[in-house]
Amino acid sequence: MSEIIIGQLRDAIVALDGDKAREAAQKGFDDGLDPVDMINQGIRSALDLMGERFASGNLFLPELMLAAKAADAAVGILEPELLRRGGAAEKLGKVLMATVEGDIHDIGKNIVTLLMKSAGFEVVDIGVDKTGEEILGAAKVHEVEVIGLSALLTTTMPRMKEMVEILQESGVRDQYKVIVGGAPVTQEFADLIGADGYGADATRAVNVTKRFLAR
Amino acid sequence: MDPWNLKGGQLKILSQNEIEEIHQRALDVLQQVGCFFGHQESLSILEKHGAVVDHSTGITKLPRNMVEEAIRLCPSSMLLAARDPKRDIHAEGDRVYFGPGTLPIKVRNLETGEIRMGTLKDCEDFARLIDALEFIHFFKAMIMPSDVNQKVAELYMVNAAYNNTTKQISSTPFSAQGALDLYRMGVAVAGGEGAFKQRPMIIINMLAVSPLQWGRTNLEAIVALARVGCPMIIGSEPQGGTTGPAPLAGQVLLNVAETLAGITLAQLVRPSVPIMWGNVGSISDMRSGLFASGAVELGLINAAANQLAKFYRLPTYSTGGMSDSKISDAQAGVEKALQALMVALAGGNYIHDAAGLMESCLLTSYEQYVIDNEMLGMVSRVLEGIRVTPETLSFEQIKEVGPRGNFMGLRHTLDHIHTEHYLPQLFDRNTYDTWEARGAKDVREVARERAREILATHEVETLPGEVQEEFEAIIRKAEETYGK
Repeated sequence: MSEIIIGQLRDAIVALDGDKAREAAQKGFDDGLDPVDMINQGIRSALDLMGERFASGNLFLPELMLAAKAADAAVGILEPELLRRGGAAEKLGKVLMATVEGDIHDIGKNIVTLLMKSAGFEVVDIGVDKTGEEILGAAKVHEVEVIGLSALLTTTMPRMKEMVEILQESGVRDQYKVIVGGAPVTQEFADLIGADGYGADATRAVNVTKRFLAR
Repeated sequence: MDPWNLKGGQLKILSQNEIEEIHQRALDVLQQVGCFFGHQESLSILEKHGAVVDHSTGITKLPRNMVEEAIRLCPSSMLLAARDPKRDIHAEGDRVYFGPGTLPIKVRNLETGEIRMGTLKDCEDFARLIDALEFIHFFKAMIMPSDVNQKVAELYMVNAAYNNTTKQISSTPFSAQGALDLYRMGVAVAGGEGAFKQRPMIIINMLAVSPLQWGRTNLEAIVALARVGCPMIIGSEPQGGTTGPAPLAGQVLLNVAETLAGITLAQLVRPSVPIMWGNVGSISDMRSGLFASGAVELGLINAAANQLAKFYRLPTYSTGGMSDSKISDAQAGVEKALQALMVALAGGNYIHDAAGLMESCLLTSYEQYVIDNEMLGMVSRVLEGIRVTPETLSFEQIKEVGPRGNFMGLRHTLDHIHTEHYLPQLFDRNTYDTWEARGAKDVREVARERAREILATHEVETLPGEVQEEFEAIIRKAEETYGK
């Protein structure tokens, strides 16, 4: 029985159907299924499949976003029970995402955020045009392990270098892994400024993060 | 063919009714949805003139009459002066000019073929290269120099440009202060503010960030440049599917609304300030979200946006001639030629990114400029169309030659070859045997040889000493303000 419901949940997400995903989650909840199993075997495996399809160029971006929305709908049903049981779905780790100061472009950052969430990371997206101090402050408050920095403009890339310097000056450089990305950013640039990782595209940003947070 | 007297306008993607519909819906967007303005002074100016400002969000709704009045105030023609007056740009009507690709960060080394970061020396060499390429009419920074102070890199680029080409100069500012410094450099070349009014020596571009947001830096620049009366490009760059709607009509609509929002502000600051209508939108590849710079849809979007701008009687700034290819291959040739041809036929006045760009605007090469120059020559020939006169109909010659003769020996043939036929300088039309006997060279190799020859021999007169001193003072002062 539980396998059928979990299968329905997975299929609903793959079919981008939020209503059906919510229904399946509700049915599982009513039948007393373990919410952790439903998240890991139902939702997680559906999103992994979508992530793989996206990485191989066989999925359109809106499909990825609608799958994530359907997954969120199901999680909304399961979360209260999860909290009541005092457990939490297993998260791979916590990542902060920001577009650097002077840059208000956010599409690239949003795609990476989406893929990170789909891969099972907890992501704190603090938005665009963020100063080094704001980013460090948020990293401390949210206790993240990875800081992801995005820039689209050639003119705002130097802010990434400054961010690494701020971490050094504050004596917390070794507490965070810094990953940089965005159209003009290259591996060469990432090495030059002393970033820990470089995401040439969203999939690779997720892979680098997985490597850092492998437990 | 006269490359300085090209006219487009033959291609109409939209009907008159469709243009009117897009115009009306754009006014609806500005009045009902509004646009984000991230700059306090701009909000005050807009509010004072009747816009409805939500100060908690920065989202501002613009009444229809306010926008329509701003459109009426825009001059319909624009002189952009070059150091060499024979190379002036007269942006108006259906006149067509081509310019290079803007601000890639990587360049393919001409000698070794390796990819490396751009330098100031590349800025100088690229400027000198396009000075010699006859179908590229103006300059726009063709490579980002990684070896200068990044905070004022645009000033170094424009310095390199004025000293290495006598073609007309345009630039993107890296900050509001940078925009004013660029204007000051233009004034220095013109010989003072009064002279600049007569012969404006620079145009500076500011783009909205789609959807519907104008950022602080660009608004500060628009307000500052409008006050001094510097010609500006105001536009936007929605990407269909990510930052704009997937349907092309919706994307053109978004561009119109965003551009009108910027133009309205500029005209409120200084009525009749010269503005060029900018559209540089394309689509995203929805399998990755990446900017599809070589998309054929870019040609359609830019052609349609040109029709809208002409409806408003504004000079236009477009994109057309880009590629997502990483090498100068068949993909690059097809993508670039289709876009450039469409936008030129639509009558784009100031078509940038028409040459040199690869890999979503991140990569450029010397040989690609030479190849694209040839492509633009062919596009230019298309613009000239077919002239039908008694002389060109050649009835007398057909009678003279008659059945079974030929036209090779006629003075009439000799007289018309140069005006009627485009003669490729690069592309090979020989037989296979001849081509092989001459080294079996790929067009890329021929283009590299031509680029090397130009760089080795082509000289451009540098700026007079006193202008150079003014430039150095402007850059020094900017670096003191901004730091390294």
